[in-house]
Amino acid sequence: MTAPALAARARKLLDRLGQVMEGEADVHVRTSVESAAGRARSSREALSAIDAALPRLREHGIAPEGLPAELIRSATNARTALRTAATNVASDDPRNAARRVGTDTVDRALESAEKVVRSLNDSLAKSAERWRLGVLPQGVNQPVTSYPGVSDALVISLRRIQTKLTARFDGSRGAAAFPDWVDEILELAARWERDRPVLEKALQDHHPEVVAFLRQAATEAGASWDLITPSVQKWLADPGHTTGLKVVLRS
Amino acid sequence: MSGNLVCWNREAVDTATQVDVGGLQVDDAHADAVFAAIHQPLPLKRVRDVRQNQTSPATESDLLAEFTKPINANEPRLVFVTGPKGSGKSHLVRWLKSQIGPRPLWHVVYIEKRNTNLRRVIELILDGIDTPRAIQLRATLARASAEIASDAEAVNALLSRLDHLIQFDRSGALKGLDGVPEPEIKELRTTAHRLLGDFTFRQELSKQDGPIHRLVRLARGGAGASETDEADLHVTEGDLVVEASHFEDLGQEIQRLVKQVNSSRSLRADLAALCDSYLERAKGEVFTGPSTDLLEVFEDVRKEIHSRGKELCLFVEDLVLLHGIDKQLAQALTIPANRQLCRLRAAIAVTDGYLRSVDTFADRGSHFVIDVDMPEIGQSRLREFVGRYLNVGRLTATELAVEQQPATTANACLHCELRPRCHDAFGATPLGHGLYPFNAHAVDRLVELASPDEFRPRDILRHVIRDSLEVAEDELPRDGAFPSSAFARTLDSSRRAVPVDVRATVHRQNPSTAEPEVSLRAFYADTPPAVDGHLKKIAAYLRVALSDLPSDSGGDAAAEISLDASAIGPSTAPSRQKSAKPAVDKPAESTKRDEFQLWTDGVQLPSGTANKIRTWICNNIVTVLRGGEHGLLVAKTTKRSWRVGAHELRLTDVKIANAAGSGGIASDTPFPIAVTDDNALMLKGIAAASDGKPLDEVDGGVWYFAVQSRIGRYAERIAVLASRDAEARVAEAARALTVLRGSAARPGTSVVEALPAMLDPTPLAGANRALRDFATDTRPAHRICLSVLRDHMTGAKGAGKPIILDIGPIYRTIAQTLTTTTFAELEQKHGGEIFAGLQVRLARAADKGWSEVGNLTTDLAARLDPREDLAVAMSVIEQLVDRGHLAGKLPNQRAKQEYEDAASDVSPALMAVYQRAAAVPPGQRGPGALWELREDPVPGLIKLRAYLAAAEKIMSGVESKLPETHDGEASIDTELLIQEFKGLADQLDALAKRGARA
Repeated sequence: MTAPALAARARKLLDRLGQVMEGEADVHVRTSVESAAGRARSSREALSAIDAALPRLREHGIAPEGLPAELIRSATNARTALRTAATNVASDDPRNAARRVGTDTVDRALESAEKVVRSLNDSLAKSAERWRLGVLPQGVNQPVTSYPGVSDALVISLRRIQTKLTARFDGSRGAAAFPDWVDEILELAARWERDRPVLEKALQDHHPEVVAFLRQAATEAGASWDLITPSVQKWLADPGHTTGLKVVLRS
Repeated sequence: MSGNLVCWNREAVDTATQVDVGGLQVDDAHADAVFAAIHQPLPLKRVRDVRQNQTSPATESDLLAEFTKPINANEPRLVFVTGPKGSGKSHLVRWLKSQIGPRPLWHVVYIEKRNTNLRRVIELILDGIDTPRAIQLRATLARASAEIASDAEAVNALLSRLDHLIQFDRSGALKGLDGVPEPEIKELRTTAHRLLGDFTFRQELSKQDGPIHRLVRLARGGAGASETDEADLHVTEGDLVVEASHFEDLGQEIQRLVKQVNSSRSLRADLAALCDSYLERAKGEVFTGPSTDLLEVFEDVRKEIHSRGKELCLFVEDLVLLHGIDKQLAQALTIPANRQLCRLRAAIAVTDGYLRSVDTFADRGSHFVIDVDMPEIGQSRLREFVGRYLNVGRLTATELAVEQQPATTANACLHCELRPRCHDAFGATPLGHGLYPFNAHAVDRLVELASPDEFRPRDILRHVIRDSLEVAEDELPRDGAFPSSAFARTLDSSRRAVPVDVRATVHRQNPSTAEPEVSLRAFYADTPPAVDGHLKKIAAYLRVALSDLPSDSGGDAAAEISLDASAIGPSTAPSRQKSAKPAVDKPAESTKRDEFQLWTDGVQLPSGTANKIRTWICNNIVTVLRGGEHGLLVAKTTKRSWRVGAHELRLTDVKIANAAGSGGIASDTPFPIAVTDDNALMLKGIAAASDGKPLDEVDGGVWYFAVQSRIGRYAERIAVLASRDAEARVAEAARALTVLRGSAARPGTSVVEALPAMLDPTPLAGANRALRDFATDTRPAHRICLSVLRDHMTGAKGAGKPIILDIGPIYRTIAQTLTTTTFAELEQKHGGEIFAGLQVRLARAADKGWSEVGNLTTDLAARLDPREDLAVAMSVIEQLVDRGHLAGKLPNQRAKQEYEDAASDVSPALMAVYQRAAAVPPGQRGPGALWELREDPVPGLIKLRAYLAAAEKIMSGVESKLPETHDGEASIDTELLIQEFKGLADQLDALAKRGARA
């Protein structure tokens, strides 16, 4: 077997290396341009989403606070810088676009726009949280206990509603998700008001001492021994009542 | 009358001299008669304290009285007859049985050695007992026996049972493995099971004459009783050594295990102990059935005997042979009598060691030991012992049976008409049994030789009586033939009592009956080798002529001594009765055996003497070669060799049989000296002559003429060899040297250039290792070739120093060989024994040298074309390294440095080395190619390989970091960028406006 010529192979590699190095420079230009365009698009879309959501949110009293003056100033500068850059890019060789978009001015302008977006979103989130706390039903923080004789489906449904009602708005969903979230909270609060009393009704047929015992037993602290009155003992003696119960010893 | 009488019958002798009494069937009239006739009372010792081994003298009567005295208590009476193997223990038990007389109230059971197997023992015990349990037991035994039809089946059953017991028994403590921790025993069980479960291993153990076959034969009663050794009844570590090659086709695990077992003696010992600890149980279960309980058998038997108002009397000829049921038997024999069980007495023969292994058994009885101390037995008893057997051999079966009444045996000599003369010559024992064809001295000497330290009756019967009578039976019918050199050959083949010079003289003086005379002098004489009056009578009787030797003076006086029966009895030979060495006379001081005498006895001749003799012989050979008839030039080359023309005479060519100092070197032209009496005298004479003594100092100088004659013949042979093919050898040597010069740094292409290399073909230090090894390896051959040339040249031109013109006769030969590269070519063209050996070495060296070079070259050829311009390639690669480094395209950070290091070791000149090596294709890397390795290419090729590896690393690394396809010029979408920038600016505008409104 004759080996391929060593020098020829090395020379070929050398040529390829040169080509690749040139190609990599082009890629760098394209990447810079695409990155700048991407940042601009992201901020534009976020501002657009806030604009779109605001009318409906305002109906419920949810609105962002005013932007700090410094941020407004930098936003004003940014807008000028972006327009200037757009004009320059349009009139120049595409290969110089990278140089233009890579300047500090453009970078600061894009950063200012991003700060504006973040500030508006934060402000909206705070306003929405205040609203959520205002619309929460009473007793929504109390544990949902499955008393004997209560439907398991009801208990599970109430626990799910409770979980969603007590959770803050997930800011990562963006401003566009705000209106739907507001509607969902309102709908869940209404369902809670409707179904929660059904759970209480299940206790009404029992002796008051049994009710007191069960309520206390459902808490984290548990029922103290003196709550096991003769009436409670009698209730506990019925196997039908205690099938699903467990005794947990805690010190 | 011609010839002498053979007064015995071979069959009778064979019957009587069976080496074990077990061969004589009990309760057979003839066998009993033979037994009575041969029984020789021997001294006994009674053991007073078994543990302290304190004894007191006893007799057979004491033994009989002890055994037969009434039993007044319930304890069984156990009498043990102990002693070393072959001392006659079974014989004594048999004698005891023969002496008890009629005992109607004894139920006698006699367990013989003969044809004994485990089943038969139990059957013997049950004999005459028909209780339901006895009947059931017989059925069990019959079933167990029927289940095993052959030895092969028994072997298989025993192995399976052993394997099962080893695998499933869980005992932690096992006999023979005391102190071995339980986990180790568990491990041993696993190993043993793995082996015993393997088909091939079982085959190994089961082969004919293998350990399990031996055990089975003994258990089934198929072995001759006398051959039995206690060790044969056990599994020993040696039994577990197997042929590893038989396992080669099997799995690695079993091969590894077998290798481990074969190589570890301690592992084998532990495995053997493990097997042995279950062997007795396995045998019992296989051969007597698992349900057979000897204790129950005995209980039934004793109940039955008790109901008959009798007591049980048991004789056991050899307890050891009952291995498998022996422990149960021992237990059964210690159970006392009671209202249901009969009383019990037993006489048991057993070896001391075995008895100690049976716990508590030995403490329960009386012990009698046969005293095997020769002085204690005494000469008289030993002669009587032999005389009884000779007498039985002379009696017919009828005479033996009739004469048994009342208590003595007939004496065959009483009715022999030759008795007066026969007894006068050969003598008789005090019992009147003639010693013919021995005499008293012959009996004493042969007994001493056969049984030197202690009384070993088997050896006496075999070697003294049976072997001697066989020789005598053959030779006596011919006058003057007995006792030939075949007589007592197994005991003293060289008849050491007769010095070698006496033997030689006898052979010269008495050629017709020399051998019988030497035998008579050696064994029958009062004071060997001197002839005495008794010997003369015997010689005359046997018609053997006697030489007249100076050392025989006084013989006539001895002839006056009477040799009747009483004359050789105790009264005439009191000094031998208690002497430690009673029989064999020491040679007289004057005939004390020297090293040459010992040489004929089989003792190796010491190297000092042997070399002295070799030197004397070689010097004489050289003298003859230089002498007038041959006139050869002989040069001493070393202390031990001489150059005689083309032949080399070496000291070790003198091949003295059984002599040290030759180093085992073979010789093509030996001067052989075999072990004979004449040669012993010759060597003795040479040794004396070497010491400056007169030639007639030994054997009157006769030896000298013999050796000179042999030297003359040998020298003639050497002279022929020395001159034969001398010219051919010189040419052969010149050609070999010419080829061998190839090792040298400058082998030269002309004769003038070649000569220095031929003289010293030492390669350069930088030559290939195989070439250097070849040069070292062939140095002796080179030296020999030079010697041949030198000897030839010296011989051809006579005296004087070597000069360049000496080369003249072989100039043409060298010139013709200059281009020859292998010895094979020479061998093909010219023949010559030297070439074949050199060619083999050359081929081997070339193979070895080119193996590495070839591998390197092949390796390099895959990466670098030998025609490549390495300088150019290195330059381009250096550029690639630099640019790749800058672009971050090298495989790693160290790659540049590594490349530069490798490149610094390489120069384009290395390509020449590579090209030379590559120019020899694989098909041409034969023996002749070795010379191409004068400059070793290996180091250069290794450097080149390292450089190519570094270059390859760089190029592969760069290659892997470059994309397969280039995307071409990147298309940059500035329109989108402009649009997005403007859009965002608009949004910010809108926000500013809203903010302004707010």
